[in-house]
Amino acid sequence: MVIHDRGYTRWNGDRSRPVGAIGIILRSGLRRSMATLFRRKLPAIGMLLGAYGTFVFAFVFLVIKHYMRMNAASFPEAAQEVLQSEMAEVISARPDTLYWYLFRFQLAFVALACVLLGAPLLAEDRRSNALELYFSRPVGVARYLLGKLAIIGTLLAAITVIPASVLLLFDASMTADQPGALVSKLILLGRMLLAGSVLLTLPSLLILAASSLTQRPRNAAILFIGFILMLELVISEMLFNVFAEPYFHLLQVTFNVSQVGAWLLGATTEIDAGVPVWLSAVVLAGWVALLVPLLVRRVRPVEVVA
Amino acid sequence: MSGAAIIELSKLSVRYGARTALDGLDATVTGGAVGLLGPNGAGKSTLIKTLLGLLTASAGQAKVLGEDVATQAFRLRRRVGYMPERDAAFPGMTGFQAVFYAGRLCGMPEADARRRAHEVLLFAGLEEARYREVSTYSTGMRQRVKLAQSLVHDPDLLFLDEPTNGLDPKGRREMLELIRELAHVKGIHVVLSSHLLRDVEEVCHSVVVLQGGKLVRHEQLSTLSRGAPDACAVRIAGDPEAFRKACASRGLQVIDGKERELEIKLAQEGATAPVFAAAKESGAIVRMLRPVRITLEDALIDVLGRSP
Repeated sequence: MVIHDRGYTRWNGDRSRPVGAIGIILRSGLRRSMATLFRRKLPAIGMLLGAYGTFVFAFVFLVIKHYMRMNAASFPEAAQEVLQSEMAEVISARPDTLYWYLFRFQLAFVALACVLLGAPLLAEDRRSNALELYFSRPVGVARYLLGKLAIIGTLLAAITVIPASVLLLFDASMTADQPGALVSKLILLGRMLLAGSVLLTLPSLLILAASSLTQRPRNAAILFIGFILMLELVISEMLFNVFAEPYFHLLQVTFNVSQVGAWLLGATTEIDAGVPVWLSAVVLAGWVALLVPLLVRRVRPVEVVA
Repeated sequence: MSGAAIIELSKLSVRYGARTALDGLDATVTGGAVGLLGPNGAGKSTLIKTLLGLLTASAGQAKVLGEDVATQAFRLRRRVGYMPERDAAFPGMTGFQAVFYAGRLCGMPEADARRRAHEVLLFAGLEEARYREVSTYSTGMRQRVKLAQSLVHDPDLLFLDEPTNGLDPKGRREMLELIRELAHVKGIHVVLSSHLLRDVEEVCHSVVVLQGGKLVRHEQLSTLSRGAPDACAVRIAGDPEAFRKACASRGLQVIDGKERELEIKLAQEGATAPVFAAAKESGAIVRMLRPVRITLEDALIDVLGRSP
């Protein structure tokens, strides 16, 4: 006979308290992503840690730059040597250009993080029928998707916007004695956060869309990589090489993100003059307009079989 | 607990394209333990999902615990628990994490969700397995963790869709005991959808019977499955043919019953003397005689057979 005295009591808590579903999904998702990463994917950890190498180099460059600036009078010979070296271009680069290169370089790691950490986000929920559990609670489709977007967005920001912001704040702190430079760097910080949101939104939506189309994270990763490769390397480049028309670059996700990001950062020298920035912005907006309804359609509480 | 309406349906219809899954349901279901019965494709799961707000009604209105399903779905889901029919779990979580997460998604503060998660896992008999991943659980354990997830926020009404699915007899018995305790002792309203009539008979006070998306019967279980006062079931030792002839000569109608039992329609209620007289005449010995009880299965077959 089953023993029933198992201590089930009624709960008299506040049932009108806001749920905060986005934050709950975000915290749980981040915890799970980190647990997955540190439990099984040692090479992946190595690669992701390698992603911070870019910022370490940039930090070293900034230290040298500011040291040179502050101590050039004391060490003129050393300063001359450095100014004639290959590092000169990097050290003397405009801040907006420097951070633009940092973002461009990180795109490869963004793709890697999407594949490793973004692919399971919706696929595993669909596979384990968790959507019925989510939507039988006071969690709507919008909050669920925003929560998942927040997970991948936070993970991507951790290897792009956040270290870049820390770097920029360090850079700004080293120019505290130059109010003009300080103000311009703080303005650049705002621009960088905006550019970062552009950099992260589309890859996040793309990997979530891929994840929503399958029940297996591996298939979602393949879909994501295949889609990017097809657009970036095959279709776009092929058409460009055949017709020599720069507008075919608009098919590339990275191109459009680069264009808009460079404009937002103020790194105008990095903008492809052959294609107007506003066109890239329209293409990006078009992708978002395509992906959001797809996600809403794929994430349903009930699969209806007519 | 019984008396107040927990579910109110007013011409509720749900359509999937050209197919009508629910067709103009009208009913007021009062509290307690309610069985939702019907053949496959009757609309049981569709009804539950519509009442949870997971599906949008094409016409009509539904209220659960006084809340309009169409406009108050979020508020309603804080007061309602759902145990889905299919295997469902939050991926990559232990039993405790899954139930805690379910509680948090219902708006419970962290400390309350944590405490309640331990409580309901203990109630469901998963206290020793709560720190194992749900993916390592057996079928019975997965059913229990689904029940725990549906209970963590202490709902006023529980929707249980085939709760004994895939369970062995022992697991089924234990699950039904848990549900019975919730419904009969803890005062939680239960709507139990099952195609296993024994489950409904053991737990529920009333039944709602659906067929082809229509409501064909809604009444108390005691009324639906009852005794037939003017019939008895008899088991004899002897020549059954001679016994039949003897009964027929006394005006008793004999129908073959189940398991070597003969069902005899009596001339009037309680008049079993002619049965014994017929046995004596034919040389048979009456081993057993009892009133005929119409089981839920018989009643359901009768109801579904008669409905268009």
